[in-house]
Amino acid sequence: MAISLSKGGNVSLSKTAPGLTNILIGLGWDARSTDGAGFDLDASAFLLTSEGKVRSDADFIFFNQKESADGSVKHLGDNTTGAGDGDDEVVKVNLAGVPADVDKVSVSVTIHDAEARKQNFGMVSQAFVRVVNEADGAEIVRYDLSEDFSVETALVFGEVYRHSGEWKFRAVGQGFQGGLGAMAKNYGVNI
Amino acid sequence: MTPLARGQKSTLSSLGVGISGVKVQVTLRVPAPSTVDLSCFGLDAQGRLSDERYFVFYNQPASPCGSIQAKGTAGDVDQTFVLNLAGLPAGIKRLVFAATIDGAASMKDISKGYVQVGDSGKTAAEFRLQPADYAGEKALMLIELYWKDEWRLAATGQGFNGGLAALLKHFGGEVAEEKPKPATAAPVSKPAPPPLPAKVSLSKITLTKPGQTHRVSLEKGAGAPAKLIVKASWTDNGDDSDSNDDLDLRVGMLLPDGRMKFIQAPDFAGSFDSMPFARHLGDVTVASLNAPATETVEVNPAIAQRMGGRVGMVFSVYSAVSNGAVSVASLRPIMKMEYGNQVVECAFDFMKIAASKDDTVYSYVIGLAVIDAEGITLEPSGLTSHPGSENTPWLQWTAEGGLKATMDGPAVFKGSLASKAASFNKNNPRRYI
Repeated sequence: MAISLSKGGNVSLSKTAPGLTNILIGLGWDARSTDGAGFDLDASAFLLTSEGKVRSDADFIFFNQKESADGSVKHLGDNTTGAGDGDDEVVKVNLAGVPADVDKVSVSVTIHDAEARKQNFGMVSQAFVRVVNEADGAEIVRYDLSEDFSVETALVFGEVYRHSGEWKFRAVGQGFQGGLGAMAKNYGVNI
Repeated sequence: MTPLARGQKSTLSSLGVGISGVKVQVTLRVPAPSTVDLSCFGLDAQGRLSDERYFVFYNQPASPCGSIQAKGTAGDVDQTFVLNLAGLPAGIKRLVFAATIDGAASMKDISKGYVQVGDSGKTAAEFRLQPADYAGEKALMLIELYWKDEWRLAATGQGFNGGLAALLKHFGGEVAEEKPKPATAAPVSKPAPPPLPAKVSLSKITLTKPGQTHRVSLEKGAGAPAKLIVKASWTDNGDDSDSNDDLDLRVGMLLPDGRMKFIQAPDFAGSFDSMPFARHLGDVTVASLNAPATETVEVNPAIAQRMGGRVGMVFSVYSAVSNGAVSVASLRPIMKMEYGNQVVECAFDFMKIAASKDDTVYSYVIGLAVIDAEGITLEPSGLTSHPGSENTPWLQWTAEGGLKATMDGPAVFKGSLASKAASFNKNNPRRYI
């Protein structure tokens, strides 16, 4: 049974799943069932140093740059509608391959064109992030964000980070003003 | 007062609103001649309207628990809902306040629209509806109050072009054609989905006064409903004792020839396909606020043909002697007859009458029915037994062809007490066959 975290909680991946090498970070949400403009949610990952910045623009993994330079972090594709059960978007991380100067991999979701479509995360239901062991498909940890957001249009769902020689996962659930561009800039990406 | 943006969420506690006397005031206007209907849907944890009695609207202005009440217009407010969230059954996790437009207008035509949430002392939050946010929506979920660790408020402001029908479908009220969702790949085990609720009938009729009647026509042919289902239900009276919440649904049947038949679980359960063409599905002994107790009787729609004439029925609830002191009225017994998707409810408020103060009044008549080959006529009743009397409700055909109910039928006991009836009935010439 996977560990279920609430906002701010963390868990040691190394201890929970010994021998873990590759993880899949699955993100999901429900498409709106009401009428009106559809939602297009995008997942992105940032490879961050201990200062919380990218080393270069190559550390910003998103729909137009799906793999980090070293291949350790891969975006497995965009589901533009959120239709269907299970993960809507998946980011794969090879923990052993993450460069030593990368302290954490932060995973975010932004609403595409949120301002024009007058949309926010309060209108998205059943959002979650989960970490799955790629080797056996077992879910290690899960965070259901459902009540932790409101009028945000960009959200950090969670992060995988190094701590005393092991990998941990934190349920962040932190809102962010201004969409994907502003978020990328904040992490030091040149937009 | 906190202004709420569309999509915004907040806990009630952070707004300083308690949970026992919540007021939701809705004002929503569209250009005439279109009009707006406001309603509240009480949904389960899966977001489904699993109990249609929790659809509170013009025709049904309160939930059975009394914790959702539509109070109508007041001043500039089109509808005020008064809520006791603490008094809701545990299965109700979400209240969705919705508006539907009757007429050609849609939500982009809103001329004035806002929802205010507060309590008796103040308005704590306000959600203003912006017509520019909408297009062709005819039904709108305005705000939601929902339980997630505590009661929360969401300014939803989303809706459906398909109006009320689409809204009901969204709440699982009409899901017969939907394909089941494919199983999720997640190894997390999810509870099995609850049984799909019956299709919600908007033609539901609620009768509350003796003398009011409603006629349901019986259908012919292959697609006709196979059963008339009569359900009596009651809730826990909140007196902290489960032991006295046990009522029995009893049905007296007046045959075309004037004789009476009696069914009650388990001793006289009856039979659907043979005399008396009605059967009691069993005794339920405990009610709670969360799960009102229901006893069900199924009646063969062909009963009048099979018996050779009109059949009268009297539905009553009885509080067994062994229950101890309980005012049956406090359990708020009601009955509902379902035929296909036609639903008629008899809900006389026994709390209004003197018998409700008397715990030696054991029998309460909730409804009367006359079934002939063409249809059923239902009428609520407010009849109660005399204090201390074990007599059952008795029916007779009147000279004018009507049905007359009196509280002087013979006593009937179930189980080990059955033999006691004789001493109660020695001066009563009436007997069930």
